Amino acid sequence: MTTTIRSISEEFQPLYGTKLRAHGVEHFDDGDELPEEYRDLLREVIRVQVDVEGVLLYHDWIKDWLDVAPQPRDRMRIAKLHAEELVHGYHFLKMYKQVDRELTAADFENDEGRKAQYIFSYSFDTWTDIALVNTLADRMGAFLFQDMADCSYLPWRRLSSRIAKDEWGHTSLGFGNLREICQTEEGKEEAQRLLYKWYPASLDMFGRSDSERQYAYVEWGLKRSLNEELRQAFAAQVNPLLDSLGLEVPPYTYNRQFL
Amino acid sequence: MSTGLGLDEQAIADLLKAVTSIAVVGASTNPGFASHRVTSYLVNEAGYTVHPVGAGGGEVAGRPLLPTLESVPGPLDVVYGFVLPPAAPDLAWRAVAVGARVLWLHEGIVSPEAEAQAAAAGLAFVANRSMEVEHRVGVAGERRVHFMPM
Repeated sequence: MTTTIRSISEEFQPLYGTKLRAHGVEHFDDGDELPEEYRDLLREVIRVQVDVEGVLLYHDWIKDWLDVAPQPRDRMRIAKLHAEELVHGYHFLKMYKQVDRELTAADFENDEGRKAQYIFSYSFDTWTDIALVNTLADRMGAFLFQDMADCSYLPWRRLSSRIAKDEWGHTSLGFGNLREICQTEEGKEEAQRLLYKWYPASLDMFGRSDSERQYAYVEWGLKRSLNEELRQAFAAQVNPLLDSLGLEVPPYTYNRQFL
Repeated sequence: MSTGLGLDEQAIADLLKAVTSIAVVGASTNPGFASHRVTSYLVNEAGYTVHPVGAGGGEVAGRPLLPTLESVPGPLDVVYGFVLPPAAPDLAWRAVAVGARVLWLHEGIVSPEAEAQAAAAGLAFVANRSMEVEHRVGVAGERRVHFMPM
């Protein structure tokens, strides 16, 4: 299957920051009065991250990862990763309080109003699942936060830089683990089966290509890139890595929910 | 147009309460693999009559690993595949041939072609779902972890 890749940035990058400039500012800081549309967008982008990592402070869904780590070294590394995700979650909860309200355990009792993504409804059964999630979903996080590392909301800008650095570390750890798994034929076959599960879901994490809101994020300087542009950059980076392990990358549109 | 995804959650819960025998195709004796974990759950927790099918011999959850789907003894309700998506249509034909009532493809596996083949032969079809998760939620009454789609 071939995929047509077109450059979105050339067409839309002139939009970057246009609403900020119309407002007469270059950025906002904690305590500034935020325009209503800006606050809504900022709240949305933080809430998604709250529901990915902030929720881990209320539901310890990744502690089982320790039990499937095969070696003491792996347990240590995955525990460190876990700790960093909890730190991220804590910062996201604090940031959400700045732009909206303080969330409590009651907000995480059920899925109502939640913004997180379907990839996390898949089961994380095995060490190979975790290696692929770290390779793919954490890399997606690195792309996303890197894209916001110079965003117009200064507290989010500072946090994004730090989180992008951590996520690059997580994806590097995941790829190292995946490489070890793929050293046996049996391990490679399992990784290939599970790649069909995690690869499309990771692509979908970037959001819908036709999202209306993505343009407003660019206009307000909250994000640099549109969803499909970032998704294609992700695929361009990760596909050769998967190829290098002898894995066949699923077709770009296979089992995709958000094209 | 077929989505390749098959039944919805309520229909799946009803189905899981009605079936008794399951062939897990692509089962592995390696306890670190997804097929092994799910097979163990279906045997030890859910109480189904499970026939693991895979290469190399040995046992999974105390059940002998059978070499082919066609070597499964007795009537079969469900053929549950841990296969690569391109192999799903062939598995659909084989499920029809052995007289199964349901073709189920594990998480990450979707196939409109397999769904069409199953439907044409009157088989129920489920795809892109873990039978362990669906049993825990739909039969055992556990909460679905973690999130719903945006």
